[in-house]
Amino acid sequence: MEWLSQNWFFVLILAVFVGMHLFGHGGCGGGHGRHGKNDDKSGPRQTGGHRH
Amino acid sequence: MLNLKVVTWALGISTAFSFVFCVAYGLATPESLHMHAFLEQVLPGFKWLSWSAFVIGLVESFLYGVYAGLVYVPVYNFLQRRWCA
Repeated sequence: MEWLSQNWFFVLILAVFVGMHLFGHGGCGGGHGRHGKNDDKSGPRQTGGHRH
Repeated sequence: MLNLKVVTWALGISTAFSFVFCVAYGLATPESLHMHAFLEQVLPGFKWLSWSAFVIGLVESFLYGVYAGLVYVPVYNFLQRRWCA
């Protein structure tokens, strides 16, 4: 307990840091716009690679 | 907008790297430059020099960087929303 009273600052920062990861705050790709291969605006996506 | 997770990790790793550099500097330079005393003052539990103290100093240095990121990023994002929107 004495250790905790001396190092509460670091314990607090570590807890916030771990919490940030657990609850997903500040992650990459924050939902601005559309990403990936489906950005084409040419209608429905064709799943098969064979075209006639 | 700055990414909180990316910036906190980047600052944490940077300060941990700086700690390693300071230990190396303290080992390479004479004690009259007081690098030992500086590290012992800013890192609670750190005593020059053992492996356990090195690990404690590394973790605490990392957390100093995390703290800087946790404070800086929200302030930066707030000001950017306020002035640059």
